[in-house]
Amino acid sequence: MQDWNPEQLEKMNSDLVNYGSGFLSSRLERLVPSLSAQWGPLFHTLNIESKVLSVIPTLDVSSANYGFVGIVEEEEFAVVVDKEQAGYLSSLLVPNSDSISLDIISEYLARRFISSLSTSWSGVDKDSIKFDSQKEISLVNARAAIKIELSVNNKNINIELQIGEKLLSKLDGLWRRQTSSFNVSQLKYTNLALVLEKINVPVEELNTFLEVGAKIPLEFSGNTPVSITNEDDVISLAKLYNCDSSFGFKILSKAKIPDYKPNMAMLSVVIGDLNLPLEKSGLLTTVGSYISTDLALTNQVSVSLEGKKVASASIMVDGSQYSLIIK
Amino acid sequence: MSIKELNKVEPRHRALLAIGVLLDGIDAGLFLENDMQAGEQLKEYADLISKENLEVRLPYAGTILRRAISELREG
Repeated sequence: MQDWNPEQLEKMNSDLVNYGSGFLSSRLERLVPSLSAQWGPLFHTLNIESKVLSVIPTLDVSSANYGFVGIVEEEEFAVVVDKEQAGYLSSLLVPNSDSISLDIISEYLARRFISSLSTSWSGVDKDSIKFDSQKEISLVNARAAIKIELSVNNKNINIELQIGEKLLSKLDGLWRRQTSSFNVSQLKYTNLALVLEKINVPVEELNTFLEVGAKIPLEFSGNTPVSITNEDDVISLAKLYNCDSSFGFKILSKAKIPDYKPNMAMLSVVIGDLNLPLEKSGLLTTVGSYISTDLALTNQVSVSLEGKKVASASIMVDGSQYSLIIK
Repeated sequence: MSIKELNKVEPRHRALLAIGVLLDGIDAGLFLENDMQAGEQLKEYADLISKENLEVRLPYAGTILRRAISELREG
């Protein structure tokens, strides 16, 4: 049996902290509610069945070898698509076309896409979005991407909208303001904690469980969700990360109330108290948010009962089994 | 600007105009006007062509497209 080493947790880099609760957790399709209405009639007329399968914001930008360049508020962005997929889509619109024609149809579709984005999104002035046919996509300084997966006549088409620093910051701030303005006004937390696990213990065996040297097996496996609690109540479940040698976490879901079991006491294995500024407290219930903490990585925890500390303990590992050793 | 001057427009832009009119009709200009360099010109031509009756517009756009593609092929 050895000490649990939380340094081995998955690393959370500063980009995840900076953009995790904004751009990376955003539902960008909600910003362009009328976009599909601009494509539906065209596809319907041509008897093309299409569906948006996913819209994923990411900081992983693919290398681009085919695409088109647009400008938004004087910053370049790229509409990148696999050439074979673009050709397939174009051939549905104008069948039996040669490669030159397919390339021109693809360009028209890209222009149409950029134009329909500009009229669907109220976040920027419509006239500030342009199509630039003279710029190469290799010159676009992409910082992030929005990956759109479509199903068109049962074939998957992947479009990647590669964006620069300015648009990334704009989208990030927009989403952050939308979520925080709603959440902060509703939530006031008084005693937040990062809890590794909650353990049901028979009341009559509580003293035995808390004896020095007692070994309590945990369900935690290094990757299982932990709890964010307020006054000992779970408010959300999260995944632990190593954020520059401190604990960080990503919100996975809102509260899952632990099962109440009669004649059982519920012990909390507490990593530490969370000190978050009020404006960040809304992130605790925003699924997908990444949050850094000032809790240094350690295997030393406290054990509490109904919010009161009753013991100190260490987390130990034996193979894949994690255990709590009472000190 | 008149339809007679359309041949002065570079072939790639003529092909785009024709595709736009064939697919989107009178809306083609809206999708072409955001061109950084030639947006105004593209919109005006798209509006001119798409103003024609449907019986004239579609074959005319088809002819523009074929000619432009042919010129692009010849380089």
